[in-house]
Amino acid sequence: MLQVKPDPAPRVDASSSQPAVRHRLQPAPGGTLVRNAARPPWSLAPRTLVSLLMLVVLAALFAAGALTVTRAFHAENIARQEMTEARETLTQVNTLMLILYEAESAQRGVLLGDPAAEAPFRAAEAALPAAAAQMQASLDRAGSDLSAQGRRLGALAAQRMAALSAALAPAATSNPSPRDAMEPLRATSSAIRREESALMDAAYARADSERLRAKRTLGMIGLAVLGLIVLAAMLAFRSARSESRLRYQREIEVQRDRAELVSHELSHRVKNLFAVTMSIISVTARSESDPRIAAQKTRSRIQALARAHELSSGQNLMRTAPFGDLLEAVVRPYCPPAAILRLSGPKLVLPARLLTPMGLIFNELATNSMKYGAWSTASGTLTVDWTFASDDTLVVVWQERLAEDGPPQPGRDGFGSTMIDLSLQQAKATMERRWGEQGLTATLRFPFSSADKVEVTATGKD
Amino acid sequence: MLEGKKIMVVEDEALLALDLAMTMEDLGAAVVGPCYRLGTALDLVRKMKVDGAILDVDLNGETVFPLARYLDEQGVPFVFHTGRADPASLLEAFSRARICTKPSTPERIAACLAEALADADRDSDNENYAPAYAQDGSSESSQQA
Repeated sequence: MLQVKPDPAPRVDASSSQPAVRHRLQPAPGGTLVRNAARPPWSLAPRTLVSLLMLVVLAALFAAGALTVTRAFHAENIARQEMTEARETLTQVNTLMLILYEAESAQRGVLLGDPAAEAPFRAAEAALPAAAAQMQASLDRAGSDLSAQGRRLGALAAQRMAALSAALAPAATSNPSPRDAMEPLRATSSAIRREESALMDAAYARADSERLRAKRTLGMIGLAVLGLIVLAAMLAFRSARSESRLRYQREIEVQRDRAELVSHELSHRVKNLFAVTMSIISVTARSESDPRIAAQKTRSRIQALARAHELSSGQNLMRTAPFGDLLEAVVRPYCPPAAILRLSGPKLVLPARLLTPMGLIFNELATNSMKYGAWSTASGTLTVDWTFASDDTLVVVWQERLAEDGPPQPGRDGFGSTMIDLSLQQAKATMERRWGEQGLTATLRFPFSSADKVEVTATGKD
Repeated sequence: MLEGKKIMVVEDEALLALDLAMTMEDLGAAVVGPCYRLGTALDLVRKMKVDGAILDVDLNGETVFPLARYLDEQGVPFVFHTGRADPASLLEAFSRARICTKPSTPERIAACLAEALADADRDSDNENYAPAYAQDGSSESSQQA
């Protein structure tokens, strides 16, 4: 009765069947990737946040600068307007006083008997109210204190003009002393002038202080911007440095993983080669009764194995050797001094799995050639041509030419053939042998799988 | 001990396979295979019952685990013959498997296999035998079988 046994747990799945190192060679989960995954999607990276903050501060500083400049311009404009107004008022006060002086000198002329002076006096008399009104309007704008002063000056001027006019009338007896009469007028106009000057000075001072404040504020903003730029540069430098350190660390990790993988592969391969070597010894010993011949054959097979694998060591451990180099290493040592070996075909890098079977196959073919084939005579020729067919098959034509005509002899080495057949099976390859007039022609076909990643270069070997 | 038993040999190095097969035959066993690839071995083992197996773990880029699982389900004892750096980890998944590290002589592998066969015999004779993992996974695996 067949007992159905349950699956052992944990189950071995496809992923755990690979050596542990392979997992570590998968695209390393980079630090950033992990950090991004751990952070909620709405939050920003610290660096982005800092940049954003800096941008906001910079914008605020620029806004403050613009505001300061605008305020300074505004204050300057107001001060200028105030000065213009003050100057205008001063001019109007002067005009009023001038009209009065003119009227007075004209009136004096009329009194002294110059009838032509009558007209200028009347003109001045007529101009006075308008000039007073104009002055009053200007002073009203300036403030109540000045406004009252202006009214007083206007009243005094009108009073004086009326007095001058009255002295010209026929009934008038005396001319009032011009000196005493002009005194209060002069005092009032001076007071107005002084006050307007003070206003102008104050406006000047205000504009000056506003300008100074703007200068100071702009200087401070400039310093802040400079500091911000230095800070940003420092942050950028630090982040670049930490990034390069991270990159360096990752590089070291990759290298370490690769070294680990290579050492695992090497250890695996060495163990396998020892096992194969042990098999060569026991299998060869089984088929040879003469210990000397057994030892010689064992040596030759182990040597072929060593030569084939020598091509795949050090830096080439994972890539392995071009096919031409393999033939050169395995077959060339058997070539007698006067014999010829011709190798030609495209450069083709072999997958590692083919090294052992190919090394053994071509070793057996070469020993056979030395014992029974082209190289059994002193100057035979062996030609090996290979092509890479479109169906991903390596086609190798092994052609022997005997130096002198002789009966072609198929190999008699029974176990050598078994060895070839076994290795062909291992490589999924086939071999077709024909013995012609001039010797053996063997056609070998090695199919490659898509996993082999074959590299073919068109340049011929030899 | 192995006399008259059908022993499957799965090994991708042809010479090693030949050596193993010859040794098994010397000991009176009938060799099934040798198989160089996982697919061939699985096809064979589904067609005929075997009494034991010698399994290389890495076969030309594949692993022998699907076959090992199948044999485990069928209660067929087997020996892993491997050059892996951490052979003990194989026991986590296949607790009853025997392990021979490469390189081992075919005689030693044969002795290992003979022990495994003896263990399996004793287990099937014992009525109360129940593997530790039988309780939780039995329904699943019988569906698979």
